[in-house]
Amino acid sequence: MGLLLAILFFIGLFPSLVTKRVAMKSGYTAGLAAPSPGFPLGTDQLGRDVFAWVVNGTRVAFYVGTACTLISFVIALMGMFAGYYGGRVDQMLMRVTDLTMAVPRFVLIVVFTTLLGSNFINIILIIGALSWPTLARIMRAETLALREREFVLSARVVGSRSIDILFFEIFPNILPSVIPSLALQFSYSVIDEIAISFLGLGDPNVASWGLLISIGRQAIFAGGWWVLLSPCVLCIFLLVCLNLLADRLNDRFNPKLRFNL
Amino acid sequence: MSYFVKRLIQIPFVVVVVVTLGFILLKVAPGDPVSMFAGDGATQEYLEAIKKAYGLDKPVIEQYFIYMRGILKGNWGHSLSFDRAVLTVIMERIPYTLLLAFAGFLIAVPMGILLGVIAAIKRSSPIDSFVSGFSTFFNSVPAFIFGLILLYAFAVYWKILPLGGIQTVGVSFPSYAAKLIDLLRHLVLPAISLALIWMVGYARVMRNTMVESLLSDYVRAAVSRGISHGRVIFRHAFRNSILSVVTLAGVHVGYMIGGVILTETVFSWFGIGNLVIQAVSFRDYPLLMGILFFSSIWVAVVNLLVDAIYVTIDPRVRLG
Repeated sequence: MGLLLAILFFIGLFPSLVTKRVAMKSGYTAGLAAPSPGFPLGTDQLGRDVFAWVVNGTRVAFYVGTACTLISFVIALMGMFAGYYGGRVDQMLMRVTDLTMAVPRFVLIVVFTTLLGSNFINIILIIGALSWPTLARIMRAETLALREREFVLSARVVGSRSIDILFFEIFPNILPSVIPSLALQFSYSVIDEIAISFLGLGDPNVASWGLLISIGRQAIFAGGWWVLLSPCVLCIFLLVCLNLLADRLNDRFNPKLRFNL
Repeated sequence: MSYFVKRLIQIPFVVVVVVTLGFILLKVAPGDPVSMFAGDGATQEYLEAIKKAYGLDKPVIEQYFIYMRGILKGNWGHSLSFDRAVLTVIMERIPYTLLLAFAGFLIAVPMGILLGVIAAIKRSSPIDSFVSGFSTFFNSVPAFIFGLILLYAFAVYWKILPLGGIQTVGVSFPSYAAKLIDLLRHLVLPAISLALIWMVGYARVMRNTMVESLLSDYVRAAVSRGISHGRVIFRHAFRNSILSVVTLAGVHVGYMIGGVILTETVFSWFGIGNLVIQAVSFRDYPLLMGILFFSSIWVAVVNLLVDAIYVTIDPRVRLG
């Protein structure tokens, strides 16, 4: 599983090593063409190479996942501050997360993308900025549990600054609970981007799997199952690997939670 | 009871905040609605007239209060693409989305519970690992991807089920029953693709809580009193685990509108999710905002109901 994920990651980093063709360039064939030695995954209605698209789509998925997870992680650090300081800051944060949970996230993503324009950077920012509440809640809960522990109190007694306590005492200790959630966050972000592109709301110039899936939904009526199934299979593959990774990380970092009953 | 009052008060609060957010978004969104409405080559006088007619010449704060008052009174604006009131358009779609969700539940809840119970009784056996692998698989992937694969297999390749929509176009049905069967045939694929994803959630929750209660002291006490195995499983462990199923069902129903957008799009189902796509492709902002408000009210109401059910079925829970 880890090896497969590493291979995908490698393809995502260096798509040009795997395919010489340009993704989304039309006219390689006259129309829809079935998989053949020349085109291992065939071409779509406009003669675009599916293999090149899918390979570049891997890169897009990794961009989206990494960027969105990073953005939501940074925003979610607020949860740590809120848990540590408590009081009004904490109250505010909890109300904000309540509110973001009051609206279905995907509806919000659709509304924001429609109104603010669907270029790639916008979409990444929107997904990242709407995904942090769960992470923030985890960080807050973990910080609350650690706040009165001896090692934190002793750091405070010797006069450490709060910011140092937060980043050198508390932060390393909440990571075990946070890291598995990051892997999940990564997969949710990838799903959101694929979904947005599938709906035709994505950036038309980015070789996303979602866009290819929406083309494939048309192609199946002309017999072009390879256009639909290639991105779907790769996407299922990546998402299942990410979830297994999250499970594995959880077992590793939080062994006491393991259900080995 | 004070808890419910608090929850009830929260609903208008959520509405006010979401409406405010919607108003701000509409204001900061690029593009000028007036010139979009008037079309190219409109004269300056015409633009001014439109502005006046829609109250866009008033200060922003006043516009905001007019907007808010309208929403609270149930005037959710006029859908540009349907040329009808937004609320009417939404209400027309709701039954179909509910039908789809209900069909999904009808498959997902019993199947999920069954899988979970079997996995819990046979824990650490091959059956248990199969259920957990199955759950991880379907838990990882969004419903619409499976929907597409099902669509290809059953509607395009084998041609045994319809491609989408809610009824066969251009066919007159001899009886009401024939019409109903036609609707059900259209319902099968979208319902199954939703159900697959939901089902594994119930299986997981059911398995974990069942295992927990099967190992708890009260179950061991029941066993030692000589109560039969089946009775212990169903009267003691099972009943306790149903609570977590209710919680999960609340989440699924509450966030239904976000969840069905893609599945409805794949199968062109005539529900609210499909409406979102229509609103987006026609840039029908009033309709889009209406759906946003509706979905947040829906979440709040469902949460309230779930709390009520919780108190009713679990005497230990007294929300104070």
